[in-house]
Amino acid sequence: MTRSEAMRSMVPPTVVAAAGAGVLVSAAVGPAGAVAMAELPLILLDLVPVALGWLVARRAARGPVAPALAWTGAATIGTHAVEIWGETFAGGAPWPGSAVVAVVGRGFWPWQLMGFTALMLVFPNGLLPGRRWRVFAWSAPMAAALINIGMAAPAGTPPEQSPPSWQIPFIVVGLPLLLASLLGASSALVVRFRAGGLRTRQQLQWIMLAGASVPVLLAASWGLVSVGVPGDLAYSGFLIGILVLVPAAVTVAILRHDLFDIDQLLGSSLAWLLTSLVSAAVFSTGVLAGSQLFSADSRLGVTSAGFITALCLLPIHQRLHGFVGRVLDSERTVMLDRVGRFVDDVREGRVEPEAVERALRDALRDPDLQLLLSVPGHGAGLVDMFGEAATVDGVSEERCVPLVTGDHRVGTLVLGAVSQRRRRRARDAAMAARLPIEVSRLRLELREALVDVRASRARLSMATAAERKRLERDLHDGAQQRIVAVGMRLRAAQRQLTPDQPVYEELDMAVEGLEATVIALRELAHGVRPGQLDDGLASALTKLARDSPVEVDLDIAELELPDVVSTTAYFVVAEAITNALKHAGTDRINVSVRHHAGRLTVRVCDHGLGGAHEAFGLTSMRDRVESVGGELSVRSETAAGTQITAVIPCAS
Amino acid sequence: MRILIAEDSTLFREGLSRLLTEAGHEIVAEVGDAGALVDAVRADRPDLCVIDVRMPPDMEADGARAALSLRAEFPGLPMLLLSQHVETRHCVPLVASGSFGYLLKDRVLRIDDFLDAVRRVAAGGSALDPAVVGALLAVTHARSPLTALSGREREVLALVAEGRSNAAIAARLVVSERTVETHMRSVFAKLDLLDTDDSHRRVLAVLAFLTHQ
Repeated sequence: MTRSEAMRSMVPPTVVAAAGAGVLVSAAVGPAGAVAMAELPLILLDLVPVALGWLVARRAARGPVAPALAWTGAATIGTHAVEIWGETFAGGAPWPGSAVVAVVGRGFWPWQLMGFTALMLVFPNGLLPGRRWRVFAWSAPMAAALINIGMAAPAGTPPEQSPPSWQIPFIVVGLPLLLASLLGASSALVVRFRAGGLRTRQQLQWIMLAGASVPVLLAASWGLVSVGVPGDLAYSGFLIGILVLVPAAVTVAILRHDLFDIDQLLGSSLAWLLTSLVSAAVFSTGVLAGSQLFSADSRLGVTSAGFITALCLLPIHQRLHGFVGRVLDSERTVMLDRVGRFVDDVREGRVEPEAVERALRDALRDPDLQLLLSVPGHGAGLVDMFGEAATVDGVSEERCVPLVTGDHRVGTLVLGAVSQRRRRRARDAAMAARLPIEVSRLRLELREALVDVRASRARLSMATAAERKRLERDLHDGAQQRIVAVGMRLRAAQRQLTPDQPVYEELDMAVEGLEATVIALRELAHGVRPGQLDDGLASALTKLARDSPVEVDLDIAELELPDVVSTTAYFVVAEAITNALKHAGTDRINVSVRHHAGRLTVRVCDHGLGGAHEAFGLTSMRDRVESVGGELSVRSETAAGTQITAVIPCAS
Repeated sequence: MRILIAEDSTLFREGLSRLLTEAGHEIVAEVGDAGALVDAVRADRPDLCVIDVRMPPDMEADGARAALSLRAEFPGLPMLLLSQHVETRHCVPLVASGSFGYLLKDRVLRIDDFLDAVRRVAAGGSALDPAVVGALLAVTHARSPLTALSGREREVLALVAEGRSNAAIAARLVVSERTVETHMRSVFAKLDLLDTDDSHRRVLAVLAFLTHQ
């Protein structure tokens, strides 16, 4: 249906409503006073659905929904007008034609239900739920016509007089038919809800919310009447509910169905309604039982009933809320359930918290969803779950759901598909999953900090290694060289002398002292960094092995290694051999050095007592290995020897 | 004899120059880096080069590398390498080629031993520092047949590798010459080498064996 067609279909209800309103207003202001002025605002409420009908027709040309909506008001106001017109016949100043109108006016009331019937049949998509539902589209007006005929009476007939016998069958057939038509039409809503998609359900939930308010308002108006409030005033609330809330709900459902979280709104309202009813039942049962038990003091009964009700209120509400939620909005319940299960799994250690992104994707059925976290050190930037820098620039704001804890933003959920409803769902899910989200964020932060620390430690050991090398060079090329040069001068001076002079021997001793100093310096330099390493790790270790008092079986190939790696490996072997000699009481030590896939594996095994512990210099060994990014492991069972393995990463 | 000195430390170079001059040798050139060394050898054809292992431009084993290339260019050129500490990486092929010596610098202070080493190298023999021999042996695989040697045999072999005669070794170790001979026979047996009476050949045989490890 095009917009102009929709507009055209709005003409009849508008004309009827306008005519009806005209009749009623003139009845109110006219001399007859057939309508009290006070009733006028209430009567004019009927125009609200008509106006809303126009709104729907203009904004969403949706088949007959807009005219049906308008007809709910137009039929009511039209019916009312016909009745008033007819009634003027009996009053002081009968309107022209009131004698004829009065004939149909008496049984005209069923027509005011036709708007609602039509609306129930075609809401929300403008089509009947199926071909067979046409029956109700015909049966309802037929029933109205039958009743109208059955109740028609000549003008001036008193209301209490029964119709003549030929009319009885019309009424007998008409009334049940009307009832059946109304029930059938309202069952259309139920059928649609059960079979409908997400959008249909949301739209229907709006009607259900407004519809649920009708019995509540009705009950409230009864209550007001029973405490002495004048009937008209009491019922005006009910009328407002019928004439404003329901049409308004229809309009919202058609135009902005995901304006609010209708599922939750409806769920909460229904749950509270049911809770109130159950509590009232519990309370009255309590009072009744109390009056039996404590007949002497009825206050005691009321108090205990109140106490019991208060006790049950919360658990009852929670159960009802859960139940209503599952029935009305199973999707949200299922989603929260999944997230809740995931959070439990994280808490139990069955899954890593970093899986939260996947869990949210599953729960929200959004495979393109992305969870970005803000981690200090990245400034205002975001990172993904792997710690890679990510950005939301260029992503529409609608797709981003900010995650906020306290007053700082911990991240952003980037949705793959967007709707108001999805955003709300995502917010709910993120709220439910905030523990794993926060944990992943902190772990990410920790991991980055650790990477920084490792890098700086590696830089430090490189610097230390370079420093040691420089120191060793300085000792060799500086101090040692100078001492040797001085020694040579002394020797030159000595040549001027003859061996029998006492100073000759003196100089000999001085030179010997210098030689000893050079040897001491060489050993010192070796401790700083074994110069042998210049010939390669294999050479340095072979010398080490050869100098050992017990047999050292060395298995190593010639390797080109970064200085820091070979120095570390050398010290590990040296320290391990020293340990073995000191503690293990072994007669043989196996040393193997393997280079494979960018890792140097150094293993030192003895066949001694075992039972090595950290006091055996293992801590300093471990520190040395870890400072270059390696790992040290020790296996040392009593009487089974000790096996020390260092794995050192090396680029070459 | 005509000697070339390649040494970057002026102090040491001058001391050395003075020492050799006083011993009656002629210093044909004094250079301070590896490039100048090669040029000077080409220009002056000295009888012996005394070369510092660690020299400019890289302050790594530039002297040793220059010695290697000189050995290729002038196969018979006697060379005596001096170093503050032992680095043998580049020296193994040189050791086996004869007319070669490698001493720690402080050995210079034992003037007579040093001049003796100079003479030996110039005469086509070897002069290896005990520490250097130790390191050369260390370069070999620990599982090599050398591990079969006893401590004393290794000691003797090291002295042999220095180019010393059996008599000198016996004096050094304070044992009889026959004992030294027995040790050497045992060494040759363990290393599967034929016994000859030429000490240089023995050294070369041993060190050639080392280079092939």
